[in-house]
Amino acid sequence: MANVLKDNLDVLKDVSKMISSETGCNIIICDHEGEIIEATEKNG
Amino acid sequence: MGSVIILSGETDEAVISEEKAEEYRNMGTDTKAGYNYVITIFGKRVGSLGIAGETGFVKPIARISAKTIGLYISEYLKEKEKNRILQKMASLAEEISGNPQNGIDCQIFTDDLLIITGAKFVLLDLYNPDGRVVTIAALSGEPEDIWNSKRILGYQLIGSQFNHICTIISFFKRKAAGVRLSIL
Repeated sequence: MANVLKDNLDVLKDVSKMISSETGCNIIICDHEGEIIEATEKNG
Repeated sequence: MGSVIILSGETDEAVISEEKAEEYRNMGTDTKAGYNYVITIFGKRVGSLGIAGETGFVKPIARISAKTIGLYISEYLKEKEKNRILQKMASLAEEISGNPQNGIDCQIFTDDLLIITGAKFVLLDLYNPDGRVVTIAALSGEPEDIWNSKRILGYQLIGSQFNHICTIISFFKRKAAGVRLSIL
């Protein structure tokens, strides 16, 4: 099965950053296998 | 841990309370209390989005964020596909207009048409000078389908000659009953 999120990581990073900065929330995105592929959370 | 729950496919959301988070942490996972929601693209579950925090506060944000990401990537993929088709159309037009004397590569022509139209099969037949016999010059489609057509018909389609294109269609209907076929 193709990993759509991983294949479009650049777009995903841009949208995640936008959502995170607009909402003030840190978000974590996992792919269909449960692997974390994007996290806007900073250390701590 | 929320992504694992969503991954099971039984639910679209996972609420992780402080108590649950503590329980999961004791199991050796790095879990925080919060809310997870599934990300879908073209109706398929492709991942999940999680936000740590008080559920009542983060739930609507997580839901709308997951949906925004799904929508955004869907639109991006649609646009990408549209551009790929336009590029194919441009290269096909260029090939046709640039090669009027020598003709075009029939296989490239049907391969490009398959992408542009989204058809299941594209078959190009060339008429002989008197217009009564056609020769199958190229065939494009899923390799498995082409292999199946060869198996059902008992011979290779490319290079085959027929009296008239209608004969080919009726032949397909007879031989490949039940097999979906699109011919351009």
